[in-house]
Amino acid sequence: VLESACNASSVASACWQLRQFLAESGLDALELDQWEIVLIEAGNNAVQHATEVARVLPIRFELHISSNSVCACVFDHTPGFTMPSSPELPGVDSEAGRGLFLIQSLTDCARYIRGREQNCLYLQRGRGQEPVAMEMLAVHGAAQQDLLVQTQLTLDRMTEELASCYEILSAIFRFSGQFAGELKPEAFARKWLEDLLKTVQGDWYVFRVLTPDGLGLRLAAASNSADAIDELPLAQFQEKPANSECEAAIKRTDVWFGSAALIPAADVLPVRDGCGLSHPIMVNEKLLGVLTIGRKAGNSFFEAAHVNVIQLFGDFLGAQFLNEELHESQARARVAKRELEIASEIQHSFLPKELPCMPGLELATHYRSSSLVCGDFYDSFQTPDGGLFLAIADVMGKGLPAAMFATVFRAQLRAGADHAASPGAFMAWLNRMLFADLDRVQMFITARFLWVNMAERRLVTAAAGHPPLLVADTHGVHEAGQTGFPLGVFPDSRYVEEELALPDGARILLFTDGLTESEDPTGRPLGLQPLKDALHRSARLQETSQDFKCALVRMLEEFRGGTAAKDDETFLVLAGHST
Amino acid sequence: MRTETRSDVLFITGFTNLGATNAVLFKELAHAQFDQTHKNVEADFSEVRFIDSVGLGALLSVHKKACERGGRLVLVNPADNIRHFLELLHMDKVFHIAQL
Repeated sequence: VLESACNASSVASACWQLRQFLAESGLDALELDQWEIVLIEAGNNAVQHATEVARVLPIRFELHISSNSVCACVFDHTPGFTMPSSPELPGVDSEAGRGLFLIQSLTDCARYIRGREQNCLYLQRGRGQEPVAMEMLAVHGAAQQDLLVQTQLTLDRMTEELASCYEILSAIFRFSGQFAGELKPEAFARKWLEDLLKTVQGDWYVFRVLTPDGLGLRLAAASNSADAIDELPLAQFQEKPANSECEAAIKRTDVWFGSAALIPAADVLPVRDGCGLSHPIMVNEKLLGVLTIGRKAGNSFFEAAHVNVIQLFGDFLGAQFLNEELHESQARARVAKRELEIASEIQHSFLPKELPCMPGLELATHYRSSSLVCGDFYDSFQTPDGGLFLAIADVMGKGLPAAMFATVFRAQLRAGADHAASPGAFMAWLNRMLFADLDRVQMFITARFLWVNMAERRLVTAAAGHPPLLVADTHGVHEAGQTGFPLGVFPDSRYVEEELALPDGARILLFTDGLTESEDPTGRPLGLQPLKDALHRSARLQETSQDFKCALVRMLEEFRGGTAAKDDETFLVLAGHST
Repeated sequence: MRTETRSDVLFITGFTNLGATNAVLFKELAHAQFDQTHKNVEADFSEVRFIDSVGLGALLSVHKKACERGGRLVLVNPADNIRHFLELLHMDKVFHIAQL
């Protein structure tokens, strides 16, 4: 490597040194003379055409010498030029314009590569021989002619390959817009595959998609769908595939078929003769379907470039189908979520908007769902005799089915309000009304009713498989725990009524098992005792029902330690004023 | 590089290269010395080991000057590599080459 300043004498000096270097590498006198001219001409051009600012930059010469050739690179900082394919000599009147002719005449290869900051003149010549012009290759014997033919063939194949890439790209651009909205997947597949037939000069196609159970290939589109059967079973052909489509699906590889060795059971394909390819369409390593495309008998197999097109068209189609499926499932999920939101709104609308207000009693409620819709339910209303009726229930399970039964339960509860003063009989009646519906879907409801007779200061309660009623006063906590079977288990269940006195300043708690089964971060359930303790404390302090509600909610949250509640949580708290 | 006159011939001698470094000098010297008495120009190439396209441009310029007087440019005793160079550019048909 040598660098020369950007002037003629430095270039001449550098080229002289390069000549010396070439001489040491064994080039003969003629080669040395000719290389010196070539390098000087290249260097002179670099000096003559250097831009004003580039005159301070060096001209770089690189020589690469091997046993059979010499390569030189001359880097310049000129605006650059276009190397003519065959420079012509100017007339004798012209004193300039012979440099490129000399360079090309004295080398085997001269290429000029333009760069952003510098350009490179690449020069190459074989050693120990006269320079050989490209056009002379043809007369250098059969070997060179073969080489030319081979090179031409390679170029043709590359051109074909490029053309196929162009076809694919242009088809993708043409069709991707259509798929985005207007066309159903099958209609899109038909248009897309008709286009493919034209591109690869095919005569027919069959496109099948894997059935949702993965056991068969369903016909999605075919050039002549009347000839193709609707569904191909896959399972029975695991050992010996029925045809190329099944084989491609089972083995997950391209399967070729030809007229000479046509696949068995060929009548599942639209032609009985011909040749072609079955291509499995895979998306994320999952089989989506099989595309089979063929030519009629007497035609040649698809060329390599066409196979590329078929595979890429198939894979693109697969990706579009998958996208469509995703869009559909997302749309379904959005609809389902909206339906749940509506169900939640309806369910909330059934809860009492205002709690009954009675002299000497105040009521507070808490209702929190662990999912969008809740299986818990409560209700409260005054009875015609001046009493207060409270109901709390928990439908087995969560989500939409539980919410639906909670709604039905509420409707029946209001319909049977006349029974409120006798909670046991009311529960039995309600069980009879709901049994058939609950039994059919094998669901059940736990519930607790409480009737408060303020005049006689007594409480009457009955339960269907529900947690106990807790009644606290300053002396302690009483528990009414008798319970019958949940609603919906037996058609004629009976429910025992328990009576308790309503003490002065009592605190009464009705709740669902979401409270006692609430878990701390280690999975330990809360149990009944903390609720009893809290209620007793509230009675001692004579908290309002609202204060107790807030204290209990806080206690539950602290117990869970920041983890999400696994079940719905509902409770009603009744505070009796001291007389 | 120097010149001398013999009859109507302007002799140019004393150079070993004719390229971008001295082509302008060659041309200006020849033009300056080529006066009314001259018709032909003879350049002594016996010592010249190298010429490039710029040097050739200078020769063509001098050649044109001589032609204008009905004379010619003669290159005297060029070495083989110089002859090859001239032949490659078809200049052997333009200049008169003398082997003395």
